[in-house]
Amino acid sequence: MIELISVSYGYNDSEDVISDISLTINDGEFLAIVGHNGSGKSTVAKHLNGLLLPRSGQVYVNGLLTSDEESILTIRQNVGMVFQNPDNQIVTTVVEEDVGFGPENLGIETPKIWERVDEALELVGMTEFRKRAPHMLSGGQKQRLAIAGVLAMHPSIIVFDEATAMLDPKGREDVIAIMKDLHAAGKTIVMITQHMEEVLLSDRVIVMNAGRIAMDGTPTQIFENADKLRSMGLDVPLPVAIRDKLNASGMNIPASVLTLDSLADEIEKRLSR
Amino acid sequence: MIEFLNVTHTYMNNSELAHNAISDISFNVSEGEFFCIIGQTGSGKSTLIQHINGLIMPTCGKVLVDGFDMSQKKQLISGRRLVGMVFQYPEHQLFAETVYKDIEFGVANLGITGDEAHERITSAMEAVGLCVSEFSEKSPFDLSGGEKRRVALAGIIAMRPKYLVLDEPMAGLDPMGRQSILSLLQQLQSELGITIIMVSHSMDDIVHVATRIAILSRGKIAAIGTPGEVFKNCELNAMGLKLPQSIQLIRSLRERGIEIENDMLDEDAIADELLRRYLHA
Amino acid sequence: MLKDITLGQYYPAESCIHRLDPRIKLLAMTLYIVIVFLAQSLYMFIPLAAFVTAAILLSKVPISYMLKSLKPLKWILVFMFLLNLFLTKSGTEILSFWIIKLTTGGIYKAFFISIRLVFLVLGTSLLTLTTTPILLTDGIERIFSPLKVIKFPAHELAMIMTIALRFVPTLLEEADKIMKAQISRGAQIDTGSVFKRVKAMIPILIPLLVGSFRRADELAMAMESRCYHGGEGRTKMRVMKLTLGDGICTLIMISLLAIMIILPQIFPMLAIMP
Repeated sequence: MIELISVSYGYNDSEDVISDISLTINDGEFLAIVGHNGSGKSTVAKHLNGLLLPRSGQVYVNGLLTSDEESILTIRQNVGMVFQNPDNQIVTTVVEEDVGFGPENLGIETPKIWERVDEALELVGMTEFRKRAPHMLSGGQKQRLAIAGVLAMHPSIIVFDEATAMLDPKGREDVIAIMKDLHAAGKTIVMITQHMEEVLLSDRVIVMNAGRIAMDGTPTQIFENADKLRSMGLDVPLPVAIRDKLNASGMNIPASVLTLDSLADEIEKRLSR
Repeated sequence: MIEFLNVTHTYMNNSELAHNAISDISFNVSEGEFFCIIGQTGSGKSTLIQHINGLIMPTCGKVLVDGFDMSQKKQLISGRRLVGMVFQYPEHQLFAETVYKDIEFGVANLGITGDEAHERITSAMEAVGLCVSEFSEKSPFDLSGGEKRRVALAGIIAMRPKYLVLDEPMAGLDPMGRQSILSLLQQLQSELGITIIMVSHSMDDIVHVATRIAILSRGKIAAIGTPGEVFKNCELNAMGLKLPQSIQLIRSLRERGIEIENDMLDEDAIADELLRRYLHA
Repeated sequence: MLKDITLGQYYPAESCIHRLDPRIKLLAMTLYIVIVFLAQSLYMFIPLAAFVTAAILLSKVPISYMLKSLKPLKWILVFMFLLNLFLTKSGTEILSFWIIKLTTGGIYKAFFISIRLVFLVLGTSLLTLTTTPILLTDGIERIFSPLKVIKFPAHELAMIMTIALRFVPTLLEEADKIMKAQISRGAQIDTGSVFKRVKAMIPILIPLLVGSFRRADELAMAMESRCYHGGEGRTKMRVMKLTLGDGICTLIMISLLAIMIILPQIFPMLAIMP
């Protein structure tokens, strides 16, 4: 469990980038954090494993305070983080060695490291690439490698900080499939994103605007308010946009309809009366 | 007009690692078009577009820009002046100490100075929506991601290219940033008559702007035509690509027996059509 | 274009050279460099050539791939060759034209120096071609780790090397991209005076530098997130154990050293430069 208690943060002496953020992320949750560029969502993400420490307020990870130097390694082992640029998070020159980087830092004994490496590569489907040089991989493969590197530390919470932003559709799909698998396997997932379609994967959404939490709810609740989202520089998935247009003329499609398939079902029902 | 005549490009020619990035590609882009190129990573898109301003030369075949053969050194110089090239993450090419000077770089390289240069720089800034008095003297490195990208775009626009080639110009931007770049490009096409050639992954954006699209798969053109034509017939899933969501919706409605014209791309048009049927039912 | 360099690249294969302990390989290479400099005449290169050929064959690295590692050095080779050819004035004069004088000594020296350079490059690239960079840095770290008592930063050094190796291809790719972007903006990189060319590099170097700082920043965060906190308390994926092969390698290197020292003692004419 991660608890943020009225967290504020600003770089140097400048004004707050995020202010007075209070948020509890429960175990097993799939939380999406959305917001336009500069809304402070990545700043929040970097507080979750103590990469940034609050200017005021506290962050607790499983009861440990991130500003406590003694606990920082335990916190970071527990909260894995996958970043946006796949290139800039791969440290070594062979795929399997990179997966082992985290466990090495944790001081895991050698045979156990290999077990973890094998397991993590298998989980992200990168076993066949284990001897490759990372720079020869595609963007999507690099990102899967980065995820494997995080998984090898056996975290209970994984934060994806715009991890799909730089990928092509195929790479994005692969990463999303892994997120789903991990969530199904009981990991807590925190996903920072600008892609509103991805939000549909989550069971809870936080919308950030101007450094504060503007909305907090299930995807259904969030997308009921398309105009508010648009006013904050965000968008709604196409099925939601069409749904709202149809509803404006009295078609009465329920708010829980968020995907193309369920929208098509509802339209079918209404047209074939 | 841009003409590709049987263009093949082979990387690592004469070695055991030789492979064709694109093979035997022929197509034209006419003036005033908004031409989009779609393809998976590794389909040869980047190789293809770099031929347009002679950064890569064809191994076989010819690329002509307004008749200039881009593999002839003298013609290349004339051809290159017609083509503006915007790479992925163009903000990574910014270098000067002020926004103004960075935009000036390309203009000065064309040999343009004085009043005309100033006019070009300021009008390019206005075109991309950067306030001249506010941004001119700022360092490009102090700007936000979206602003940096617009500075980079202005640097190319100020060179007044006839053809603007862009590789994933919206990558990594938030929904609003994407929308503003897209409408900027549309404006350049409709108001200034610049021909746009854009590589993009985001089908949903493309359907709204493209006059024609080409689907590239394994170095070959798998389909070419208007978005309506291409999405109606082409099996994109087999090429690792996704259909635009509007088309996906139409297809799944048709599967359910709701026969909607399957070349409708605009979500408003789809909604209107559905409402019309709903009110008639 | 920039990606074509082989220097420092690993060639994956299963061979006895690949399997050698990196520490032994590093020491062998150090010894090899000494040996190359012990050769004082062209004749002395014969045993060396035999050794290098045998090593290359054993390593299963294709000869063509090996030779590619020489490619980036071709201009240095040509320069060294010409420099020695025209600046050495010994032996008989063959040709004299204006201030240029060609002597037998010059020809001999030019060949000698060029061949020595080729040997140095071939031998050292054999090390990097058969050893993954990570093993190499591991080896360096372990060789120098006894020096930690005098505060020698063995781990940090190894980490810096790993990261450098990791990012060389990435940065080359980026440089290539930036160069193309600036050419598209009309930059003229390969024409004009030296001053102009240096000035033309600025639009390439600054974005590259800015990009590297951004990468460094992000990488540091990613490393911290994965609990990197220096070498203390860190375990290793690889355990290094010396094997019979390592013993044999050491023996061969020492024998070669002995041959190179003793040979000119027995046959003094071998060591003489004409």
